[in-house]
Amino acid sequence: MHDLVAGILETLTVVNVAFIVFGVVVGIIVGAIPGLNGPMAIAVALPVTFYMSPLAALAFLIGISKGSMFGGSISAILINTPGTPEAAPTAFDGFPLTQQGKGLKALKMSLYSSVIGATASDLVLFITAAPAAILALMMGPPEMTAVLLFSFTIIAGLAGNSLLRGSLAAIFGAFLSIVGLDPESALPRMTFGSIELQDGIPLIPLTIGLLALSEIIIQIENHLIHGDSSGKRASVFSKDTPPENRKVTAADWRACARSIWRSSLIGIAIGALPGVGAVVAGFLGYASAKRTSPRAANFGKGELEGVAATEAANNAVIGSALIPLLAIGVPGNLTAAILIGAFLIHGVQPGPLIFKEHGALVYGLFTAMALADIFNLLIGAIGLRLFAFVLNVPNAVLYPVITVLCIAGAYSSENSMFGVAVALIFAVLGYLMRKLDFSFATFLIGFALGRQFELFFRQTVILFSDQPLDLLTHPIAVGFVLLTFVSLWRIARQKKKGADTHAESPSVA
Amino acid sequence: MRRSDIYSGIVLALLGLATIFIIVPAGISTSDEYGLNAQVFPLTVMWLGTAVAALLVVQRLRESRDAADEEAPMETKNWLFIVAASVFLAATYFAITLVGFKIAGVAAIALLMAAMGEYRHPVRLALVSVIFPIALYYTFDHLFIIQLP
Repeated sequence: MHDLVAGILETLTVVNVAFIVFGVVVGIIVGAIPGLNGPMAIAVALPVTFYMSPLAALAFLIGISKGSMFGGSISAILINTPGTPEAAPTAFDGFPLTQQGKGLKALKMSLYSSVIGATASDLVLFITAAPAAILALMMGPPEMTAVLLFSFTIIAGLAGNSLLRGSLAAIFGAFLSIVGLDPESALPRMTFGSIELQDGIPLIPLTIGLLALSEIIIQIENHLIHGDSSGKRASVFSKDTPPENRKVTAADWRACARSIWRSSLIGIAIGALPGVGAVVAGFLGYASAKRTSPRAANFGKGELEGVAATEAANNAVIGSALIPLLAIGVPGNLTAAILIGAFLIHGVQPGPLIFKEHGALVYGLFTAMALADIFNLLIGAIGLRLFAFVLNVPNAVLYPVITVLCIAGAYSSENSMFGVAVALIFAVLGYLMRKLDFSFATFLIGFALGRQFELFFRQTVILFSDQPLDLLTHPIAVGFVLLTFVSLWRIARQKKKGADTHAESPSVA
Repeated sequence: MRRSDIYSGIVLALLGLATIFIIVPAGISTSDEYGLNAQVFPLTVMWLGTAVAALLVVQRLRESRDAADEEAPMETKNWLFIVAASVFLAATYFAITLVGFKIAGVAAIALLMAAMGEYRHPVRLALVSVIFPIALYYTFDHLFIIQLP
C-alpha cells in the first residue's frame, strides 16, 4: 500500500506530468509521419533519459509509445498513408471516410477507440500482471504455431471480392516474408548476395509503397488519363458538410461499441504473447469486426466500425505487452524490448522481483500509463482539427508532397536508399494489385505472419519430431487447431451458401 | 475480372513454377543437419501458390462469359502510364543517390505538381517544391537525427 501511494504521488509531480505530456506530443507527431514509429522514437529518446529519474524516464517513453500508436492513424485516415505499420488496416476504411467528407469523424473515432483500447489494456496490466504472465509463459512454440495458424483464417474475411485472389495475395506475401537469413541455420535465403536483404524485406517501406505510393499513382493516373476528380477529398470544414459527418454520434457508438470491446480483448491477448505484436492485433481486430458486423459489406468502403476495431486492437497491445516484461522480464514486443534498456539504465531489473524491490516505481509507471491515456485523449482532441486541415490542401499540392514525405520516411526506416527502393518497387506492385483486385490486406497479413509462423513451426518440429504425439498434451495448441478447423468449415459453408444463392438468383429474377 | 483473372492466374502459376524449379534452388542452400530443411517452407508456400493460381484459371475458364465481367481492368493506356510512372520513380531514386534528397525532392515535387495541373499556379508550384523538401530535410536532420542523403 505504501508503494502504491508513493508511486502515485511521485508520478503526479509537475516534472513527471510534463514529461508525459511532452512524450505524448512527440509520439503523436512521430507516429503521424510515415516511416517513423514509436519504437524508433523511443530508441532515439532513450539516451536523453540518462539524466532523468527512473520514473520520469519511463513516463516519457510510455508517453511516446501511446502517442505514436494513435498518431499512426492520423495519416492513415487523412492521406491513406499509415504512419506506422499497425495502422495499415485503419487506412482501409479511414481514407474512404475522408473521401466522403467524414475525415474528422474517423479521426475522432480513432482517438476514442485508441484510448479505450489502451485503457482497457492498462487495467488488465494493473490487475493481472503476474497471473497473466504465467499464462503467457505457457505459450510455447506449438501454442504459437496454432495461434498463428488460426490467425491465417482471417484472410477469408479480408479477401475482398474473391477468396482465391485474396488467398493468392496472402501466399505470395508469406513467400516474400522468407527472404533473409534462415531462422535456424542463418543461411541466406533469396538474398542473391544482397547484404540489405539479409534482414528480410523491411515492413515499413513495403507498407509505404503498397498503401500510400500506389494510391498516389492511381490518383495521378485518374487526373492525367481520365481528368477525373473522384479522388478529391471533401473538406471536413465545408459548410456543406453535415454536422453528423464531423462528430461521433450516439448511433455510431452503438454500432461500434461491441467491436471496440472485442478488439480491445484481442489486442490485450496478442500483446501478452511475446513476439506477435500490434500489426497482427490490428488485422485480427479488423477482421473480427468485419466477420461479425451487420454492415460487413461496407467494410473497405468507409465503415467507421473498421477504424474503431483496428485502433482499439493495436492500442490494446501497449499495456499488455508489459505484462511479460514486468512479471517475468520477457519483452512482449519491440517497444517493451527497448523499455528493458530504460529499466536497466536506471539499475532496475524487470522480472518477478520488481514488484518487491521497486514497487513504487512499478505503481508510478501504472499511474503514468493512465495519465498518458488521459493526455492522449486531451491532446488528440485538441489537435484533431489541426490535423484535419490537411484536407484543405489541394490534391495537386498534397500528393507530390506526400510522395516526397514517403520517400523520406522509407529512407529513415532503414537509414539507407534500400528502404526507398523497396517502397518504390512495392508502389508499382500495389498499383497492379489495386487494378487487378488482389487484396493488399491479405498480402500484408501473409507477409506479417509468414516468418513468425515458419519460426514457431520449425521450433515445434525440432521439439516434437521424435514424439509427435506429445503435442496432444498441449491443450491450448490443440484447442486452437480445432478452432482453425471449425473456422475453415464455417468459411466453406458460407461460400457454399453464397454459391447456392448466386445460382438461384437468376431464376428469382 | 474474368479475363484478367485468367491471365494473372497463368502468370502467377508460371512464376510459381519458375520459383520452385529455378529461383528457390538457386537462392536457398540446403541444410539437412538440424530440424527442417531451409527450402521446405518456401517450397511448400510456392506449391500452394501455384496450385491456387491454377485453380483460379480453371475456375474462371469454367464460368460462363458475362459481358461486364469481360472488361479488362487495365487498358493499354494504363500499362503505358504505369511504365512511365515506374521510369519516373526510378529516375527519382537515382537522382537522390546522385544529387541528394534536397535537389531531387525539389525536382520531383515540381514535376508532379506540374503534371497535376499546378503549372497554372507557378508561384505556388515554386514555393511548395522548394520549401517542402528543404524543410523536411532539416526537420529530419535536427529533430529526428536522421541524415537524409
